[in-house]
Amino acid sequence: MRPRSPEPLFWTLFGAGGMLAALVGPALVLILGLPFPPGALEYATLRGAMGHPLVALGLGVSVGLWLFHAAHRILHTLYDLGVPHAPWLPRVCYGGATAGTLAALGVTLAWVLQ
Amino acid sequence: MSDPRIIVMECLRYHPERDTEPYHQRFEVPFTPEMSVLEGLQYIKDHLDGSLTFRWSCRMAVCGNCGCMVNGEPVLSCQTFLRDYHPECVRVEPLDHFPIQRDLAVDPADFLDKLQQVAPYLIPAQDRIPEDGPYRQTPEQMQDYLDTSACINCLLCYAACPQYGLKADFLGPAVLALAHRYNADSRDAGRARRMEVMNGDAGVWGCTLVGRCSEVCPKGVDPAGAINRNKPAAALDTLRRLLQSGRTCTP
Amino acid sequence: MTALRTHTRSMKGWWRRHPAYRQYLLREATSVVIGLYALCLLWGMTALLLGPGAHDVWRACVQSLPGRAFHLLALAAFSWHAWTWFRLLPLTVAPLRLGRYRITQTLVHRAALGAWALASAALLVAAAGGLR
Ligand code: SF4
Ligand code: FES
Repeated sequence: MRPRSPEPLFWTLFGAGGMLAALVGPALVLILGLPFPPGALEYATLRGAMGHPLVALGLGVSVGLWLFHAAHRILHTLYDLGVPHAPWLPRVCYGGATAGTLAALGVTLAWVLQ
Repeated sequence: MSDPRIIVMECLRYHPERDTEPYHQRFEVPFTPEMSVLEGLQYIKDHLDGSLTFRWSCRMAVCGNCGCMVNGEPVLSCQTFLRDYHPECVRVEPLDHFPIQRDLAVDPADFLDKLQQVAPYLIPAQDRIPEDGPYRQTPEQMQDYLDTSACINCLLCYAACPQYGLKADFLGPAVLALAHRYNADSRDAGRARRMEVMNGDAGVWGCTLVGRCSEVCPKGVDPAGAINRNKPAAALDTLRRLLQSGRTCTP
Repeated sequence: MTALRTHTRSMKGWWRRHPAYRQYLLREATSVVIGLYALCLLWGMTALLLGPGAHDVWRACVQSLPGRAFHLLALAAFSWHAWTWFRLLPLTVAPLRLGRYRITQTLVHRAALGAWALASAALLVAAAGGLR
């Protein structure tokens, strides 16, 4: 049997992140960037919103999946651009995404437990 | 139309016994509105330079032999018309991403080799003999694979796929589409065998969905769709194996 | 048969050969911005957790000129990502058949765009309601 590849795992995370980014990304950037409504970035407002466990969880999951989405695409684009395949390259990409996801989950946990 | 107009055809030339590098040669070809690029090449071969090498057979978009790059687009030269380019010149080159054998003829050995790997034929669950009678299939079941069965192995999709050009191992659009064609056939039971090859880095995971294969296919095969519809199934297959043995996923 | 010498062309600068290749790379490039935006969110979540002081620093950054420019870039990247994502989504969905009725790629595409509109509207309404 030929060696199996871990690719399906990363592709699934990439796909989930891509789907989430497409569905809620533009609206979220609008809310925080405009901001909408104008007082959305106030400390009290945001704390109130994050007090809702679903909001905290949604943001935490988004951060993690988007990082995996980015890691996957960036890795393959580097290959596309002619960067030679080296074992450390996927380790850096997916390792970075894993670290960021763990941090995001930690922060989310702190929020949910509050 | 009155007297034939003249179009400039710029052909890539490469004769391995003579040339170290390919170069382009210009030919002035008189053409009529119904003349295809292939007929232009034939005019060159008959009247201007008998050493120009290119492949063709059916002249009617059936055999898949005459594919080449025309002004950077992979096309069947027998269904591409000179009138659509005049007064610009047409640049005719061998299909991208394949080794050039001679002038416009490429070496398709890599494709043929990969095609065999996916067992592109029906693998019935039980051996059958003619006395068993014909395979039966409803029109709906036939619809499941009909699109992908139209492939004529013209290799245009390979010339449109940068991943095939970049990765020596990648099975490429048509091979994966044909694997899908047999997997999707209700008479076939060879899915598990093909999955071995399809669910690898050289299989569906080699595809990053550039998507141009489906745009250039002259037969409406949609290889990009055929490949990517298999990704969720291939991912599930991996997950299942992972759960079963817990040791299959080593990079 | 004697093995003939063949000529293999280089893939150097392959994206220069066709505009579709450059559009593909542009689509892939949105992921860089999406990754950066995820980090910006992570920073915001952490700052908000730490208290008003840390949150003020984050907010000042978001509302500074470079922060606004980044958000504009992020809006463009997310939108282009979403547009291309939903356009390609039907390719990854196995064709479904409900009896004689086939769910076409066009239908999947439209449904995905509808879900996008719905999700966006829901988020904006929730954000507007959050102030009340
Ligand atoms: S899938 Fe289409 S483009 Fe590719 S070899 Fe078959 S007919 Fe040609
Ligand atoms: S000559 Fe047969 S496809 Fe063009």
